[in-house]
Amino acid sequence: MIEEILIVGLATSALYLVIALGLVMVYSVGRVEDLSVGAYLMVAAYIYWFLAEGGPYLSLPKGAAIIITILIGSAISISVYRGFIRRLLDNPTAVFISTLIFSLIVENVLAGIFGEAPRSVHPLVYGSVTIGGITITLNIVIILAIAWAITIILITFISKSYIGRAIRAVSINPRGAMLVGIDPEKVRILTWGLCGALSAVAGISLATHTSISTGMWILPLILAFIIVMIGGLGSIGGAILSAHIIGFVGAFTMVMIDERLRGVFGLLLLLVILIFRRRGLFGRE
Amino acid sequence: MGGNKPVRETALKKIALRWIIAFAVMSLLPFFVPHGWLRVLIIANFLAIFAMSWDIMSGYTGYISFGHNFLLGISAYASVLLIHHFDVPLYLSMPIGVLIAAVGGVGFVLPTLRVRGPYFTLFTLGLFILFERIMITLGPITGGTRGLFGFPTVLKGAVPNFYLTLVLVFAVAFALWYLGQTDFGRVLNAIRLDEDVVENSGLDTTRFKLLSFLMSSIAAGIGAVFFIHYLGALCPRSVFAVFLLLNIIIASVIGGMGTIIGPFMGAYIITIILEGLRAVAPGPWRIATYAAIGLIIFILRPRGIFFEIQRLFRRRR
Repeated sequence: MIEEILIVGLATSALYLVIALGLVMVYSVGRVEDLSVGAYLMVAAYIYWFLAEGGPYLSLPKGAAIIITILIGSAISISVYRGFIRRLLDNPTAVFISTLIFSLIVENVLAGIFGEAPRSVHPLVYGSVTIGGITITLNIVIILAIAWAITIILITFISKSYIGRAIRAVSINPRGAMLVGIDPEKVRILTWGLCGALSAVAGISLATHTSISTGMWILPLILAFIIVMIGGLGSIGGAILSAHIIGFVGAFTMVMIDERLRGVFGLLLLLVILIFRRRGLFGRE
Repeated sequence: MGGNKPVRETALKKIALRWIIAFAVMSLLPFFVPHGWLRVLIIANFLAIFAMSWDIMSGYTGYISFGHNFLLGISAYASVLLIHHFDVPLYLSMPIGVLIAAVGGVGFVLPTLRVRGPYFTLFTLGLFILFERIMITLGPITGGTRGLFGFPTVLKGAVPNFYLTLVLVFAVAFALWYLGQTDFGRVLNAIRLDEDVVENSGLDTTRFKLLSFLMSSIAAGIGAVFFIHYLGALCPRSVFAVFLLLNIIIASVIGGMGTIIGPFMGAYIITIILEGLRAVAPGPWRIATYAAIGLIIFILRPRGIFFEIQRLFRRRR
């Protein structure tokens, strides 16, 4: 029991953390919330499935499928940003609403092309390992490893590299960043691309872990959002902590109580935390 | 009528006349429109009530709620459960349902009024999803995902129901619109523009927000109990669908947030779009096309259709 909670908790936390990191970065440089991350994730999941398992003509090797999917994922998020989010940057409410409507469009376009029935996807790697007496699929281990590798690379990238410093500069003060020769628009495009890529990775992981369906955007979006909110908007450390709170609460509910109540306790937790700390745990007042 | 100009005494007669003409024209519809379309218009009327009740809260104050279904849900479930388990008559259960929406809505939102921007939106979304899950989990009482059915409806037949909803929608529209024209409405508008300034000028913004939420809850509750007793069946999908939430929001934003009349028109526009597309685009393509049209209108004309119509008329003059 406890081992199962531990593994499921760690894996789901890491997965949702990857999506939440995209949201955190996008918020930092744009001061808006992009609710279409769920849509990016879902599109990526379908594209990966189509490329890797879409019939006799299209059965690319998994590695190639993953790379192409990530590229397409960034392309989509960048086009959404350039397409309409950029026009609405001064109005966070409008971004909220328009990106939600966009998700509805994506859901129904995918349903139109591939049908509404859920489809199963083969795992990235087959087999299982036994750790401490319980058996887990190798796929979960790989997902966990990839998610943590991405998180660590991303944090290093943001704190050490030149581009990462530019992203931080824009997030602190776009005008100041402009004065020292950084183009905030370029930084935003790059960040949105990164967000799309992160969502794509999460989408592929989620697809190979469970299955794909046209309703799969809602739960990850809400959970990632809860994570960002509990952690405090724009705080990466807060996101890491709250991802694990939410992940473990979810895993505990799933294993010990009732599968149907998966999201409920996370939501309750959010409501309680927001009542006492209205900017989340690490948000700036 | 933008909500930020006072109603002058001289203009009052003219505006009253417009409302009467609009009502008269709409009440002639059953003589020209086939019965199938009448049922569509009934749903449009309900959607209009929901959208306007969302507007008095979110459109005016700028506190975007994604939890409107929560209000619809608690009042609908309250009324139906009272009938189903305690045999409460319809004329009692419906007002109680509205009361529950008002009390529950304000009670649950009380702690959130300190929370701003996206935090508020997520909080309301959380309430909505939480309540849906609870209603599904309490299967023996609420009927679970299958829901409850076989409870009484207010009226039978398309024509009587159309007039019922028409009276309702106009009553709600006029009440909320009038509210928007008063000082109260102007304060709500000011809160959207800059809450800190309103607070610094000595007004208790929390009280105003609470009142606007109360109005929103009551209007939503009225809409929801009549809606559920029109359908005669209640399942989580009929009040808790994300699609319904999106319809409410799309109707409000393409009509024009913060105008009451805009969301009213918006509800009719999206219903007509959705019905018109039924023949052209099958299944999911219909909803995709509809949402794309909504998105394009919103991006190109973020202030909404009502504002554009007003501008058109002003230019002519």
